[in-house]
Amino acid sequence: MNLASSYFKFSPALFRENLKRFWTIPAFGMLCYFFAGLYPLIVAEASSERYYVLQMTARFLNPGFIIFSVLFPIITSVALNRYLFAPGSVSVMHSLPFTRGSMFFTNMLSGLVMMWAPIVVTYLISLAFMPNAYLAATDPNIGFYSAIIAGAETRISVGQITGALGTSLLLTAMYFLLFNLAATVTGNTPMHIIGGAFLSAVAVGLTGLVGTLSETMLFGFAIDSDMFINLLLRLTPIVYYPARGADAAVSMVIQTIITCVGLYALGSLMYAKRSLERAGDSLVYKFVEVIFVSIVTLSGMILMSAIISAIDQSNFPFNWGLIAGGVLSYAAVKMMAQKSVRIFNKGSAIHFGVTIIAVLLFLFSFRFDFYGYEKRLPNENDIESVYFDPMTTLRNYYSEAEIEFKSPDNIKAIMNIHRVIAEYGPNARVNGEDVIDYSANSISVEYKLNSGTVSRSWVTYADASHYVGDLLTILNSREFKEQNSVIEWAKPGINSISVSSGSYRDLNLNPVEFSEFLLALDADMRDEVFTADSVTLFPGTGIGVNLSRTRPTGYVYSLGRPYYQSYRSEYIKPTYTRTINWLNAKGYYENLRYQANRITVELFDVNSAEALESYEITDFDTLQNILDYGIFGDEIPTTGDSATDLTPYCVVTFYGLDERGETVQLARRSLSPEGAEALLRLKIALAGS
Amino acid sequence: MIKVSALNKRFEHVTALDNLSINVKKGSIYGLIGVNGSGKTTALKAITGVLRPDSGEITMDDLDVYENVRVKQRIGFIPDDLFFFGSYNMKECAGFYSRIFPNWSKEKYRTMAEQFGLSERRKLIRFSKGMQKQAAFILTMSSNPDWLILDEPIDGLDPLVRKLVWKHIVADVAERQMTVLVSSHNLREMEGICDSIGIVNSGKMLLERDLDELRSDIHKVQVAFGNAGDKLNNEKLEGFEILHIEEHGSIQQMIVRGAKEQVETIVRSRNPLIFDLIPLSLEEVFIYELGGGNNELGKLLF
Repeated sequence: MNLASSYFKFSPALFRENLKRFWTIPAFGMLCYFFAGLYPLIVAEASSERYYVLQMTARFLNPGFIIFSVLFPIITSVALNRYLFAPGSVSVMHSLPFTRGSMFFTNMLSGLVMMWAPIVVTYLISLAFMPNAYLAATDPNIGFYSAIIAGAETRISVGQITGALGTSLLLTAMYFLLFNLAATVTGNTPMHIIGGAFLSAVAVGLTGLVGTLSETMLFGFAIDSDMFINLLLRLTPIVYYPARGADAAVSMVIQTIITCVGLYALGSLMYAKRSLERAGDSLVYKFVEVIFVSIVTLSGMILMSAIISAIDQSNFPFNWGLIAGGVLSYAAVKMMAQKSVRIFNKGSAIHFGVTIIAVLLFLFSFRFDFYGYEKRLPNENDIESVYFDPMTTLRNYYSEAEIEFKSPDNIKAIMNIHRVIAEYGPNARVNGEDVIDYSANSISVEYKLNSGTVSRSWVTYADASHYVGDLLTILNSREFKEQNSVIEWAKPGINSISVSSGSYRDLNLNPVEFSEFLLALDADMRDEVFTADSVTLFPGTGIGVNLSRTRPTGYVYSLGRPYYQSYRSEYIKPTYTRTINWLNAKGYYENLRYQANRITVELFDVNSAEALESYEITDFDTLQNILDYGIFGDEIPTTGDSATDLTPYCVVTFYGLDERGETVQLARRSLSPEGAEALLRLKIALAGS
Repeated sequence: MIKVSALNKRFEHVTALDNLSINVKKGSIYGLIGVNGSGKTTALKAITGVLRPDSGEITMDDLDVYENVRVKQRIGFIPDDLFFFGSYNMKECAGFYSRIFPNWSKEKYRTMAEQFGLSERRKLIRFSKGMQKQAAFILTMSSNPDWLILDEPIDGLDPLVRKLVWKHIVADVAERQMTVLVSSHNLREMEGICDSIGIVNSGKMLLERDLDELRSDIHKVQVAFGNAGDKLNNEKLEGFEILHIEEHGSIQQMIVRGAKEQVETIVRSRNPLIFDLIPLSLEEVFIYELGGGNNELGKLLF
């Protein structure tokens, strides 16, 4: 029997009978879609409201539609496959003159028609509202709603409606096929639904599980929420469409179609091989039971271990919760799979032992990095570009996180940094030097290769001096300077520029001053020559600049897309002579500086909050140094409970003269550990002593 | 004809069918009998293509059954556990059957529906179990099957309906050469209707024979001799076999296998005081063949 005749044989009689038997599904579907989409559209009084509702529908972001795209496939699949779950019905249906292939195929087609009919009708009716929507778009009052839909185009096109229709149909089909596959491997309706939910969630769940384990146990494993979402968006249409709506990439549409074909083929195969005598059992295939039990046991172990580690701070995942979770979840899922509480036998004990050993091996393989993940570097010849974000290391020198390096020198330097960090691991220190314990650095790298991407993200205590030469290569490169340029960044348009310091906050520049200021700042930044000291010594400086830019027209943020950075902060360093001169010329600079004549520094034990030492600085050179670099943290309230709640590591108090010539306290600041470290490195402590 | 050869089917650790072979001649009625759990229903489900056997061959008129739509269009199957579409009445079911069975006869359906007196408009799931069985029978027979497979067809039917059911079956066998394979525990009724029988035990075919042949082959004998030395036992006999023997004083009760005339000749040659030879009923054959003669149940029954 060839493929076409075995898997795609259609029975018109069964198709007709299915539609006749389950006519309530499309009827109920029509009602649901009507109340979720069409009814609000009809009753919306304000034209802009109607436009908004139609926009949601046209972009497949109508929450009702998304829910129904999941709900109706479940209902339809359960209704059409219910006969498989009772010995009587399965005997009668399979004694009738249909092949298994034709039953599966015909049931699938009937289900699709029943689910798709109300969707198609709904979208066709939506088209009727298009002229109104277009008129509404010209209404000046529409601004608010445009904002809600995050800069969406103000005209709805037939293409949008068609795209949303296609998305609805595709997502509905995929869920339906997924639940049909679940029906072929399960033996009763509750397990059918559980199985479908399990298959829907297994990709997301396992990705999350492996991601969590990797992040916990692998040094450099990079997964934050954005990356996790991005991974899932690439991995599963189930996450993709509710996040992106109808704006699906062609590749995802193709992936979804391939997924549907795969689900159908697998479902059809499992249906053909199904042992019909297993009707009523929980699971029809033994190997499915093994997979199901193993995955649930693994999840139970990790979950219980996470709960235990949250309660008593024990080591995740290697604590007693691992075994407790294993026993409980294995027993529960085994009872469910076998529909019996009598699971404690020799066979189960062996299976449990094997499962637990497999899970432990799996966990240990992470813990001891059997895959060589931590030390692995991509092949230099395969690298097209690298995104390098030193985050806390260079927080104040490197504002633009999305800098892409392509020059061979910079790529080599980044790979060297990668190599050094991987070599030293998270806790390595240079020469055992007693540096302050808070100097953790966060660094992330993303290589774009010919064949995909490689990402790493480290939190390391390894001293930056191990790789400072490479950092300087990067920071002093033309490639970095050009991409880090504030002029380039400001091209979409500047909304505001404010300059502030510890003594003077939020000096808002006049828009006519923007370009002059930016030119001066940009030139200073381009001319800046980074040195080993300037890179490693100063985590902060005194005068800050906050810039805000406009969002480009048409940009819509959605889950998993790069977030558009509307804000940027820079620091005006003592070497930024053009900027300082400009501020001076405008008469702003003096206001931004402390007019202190005395500074006291108090150091505290970070754990006990006991004062360790304090010293006073009065000599002019050191004072000038501090005032220029201004390593200022948060202001400490001088009254109220919160004043005593703070246990800063270092407190700096500034004194100056008031208008009557009397000494007064100008400000009191807590310093971050990095700030305190910088003070130490400036040898201020020596000056104080 | 229906031919089943060396059929095997296991359900996990249970052997449901063990090298089972069945031969049903065209235009005959074959009774498949066996104790509960002997594998009858499994065999019938395999024969109708519901279950896939692990090994063995099932053909109807030399055509494979499994996944063969053309053959299944000519099979009528009424399982023990009935099923109808939830919202359907008999008329709607008839509509469905008429579209999937090419030999469907509207006239036959109307006639039978009238004879059985079932409402065509009432939902089938609202019918009693007996009425559902009748409805299934009407629908199946109206499709004019060449091979009719019935699993406990008359359970729950009243005597009048039973008679009507058998009447239709016999008529189709006579008129259309329909082949019938039926399983039942009602051995008296089977005895009256079947041409041949097969006794299944633990998934194996224990005995398969034409009913007439079976009747002339096994007998119950009651005999008493004046001289104790004339008593019968297997060692002294030729030409027939004593399968089971019990003695109550001078009276011997036996189950014997052999031709009736030969048994009579041998026994009478010894001048018995009392001699009765009675053919065994199907029920007695069934119980005896399944080992009943040698166990407590058999002692009670014989």
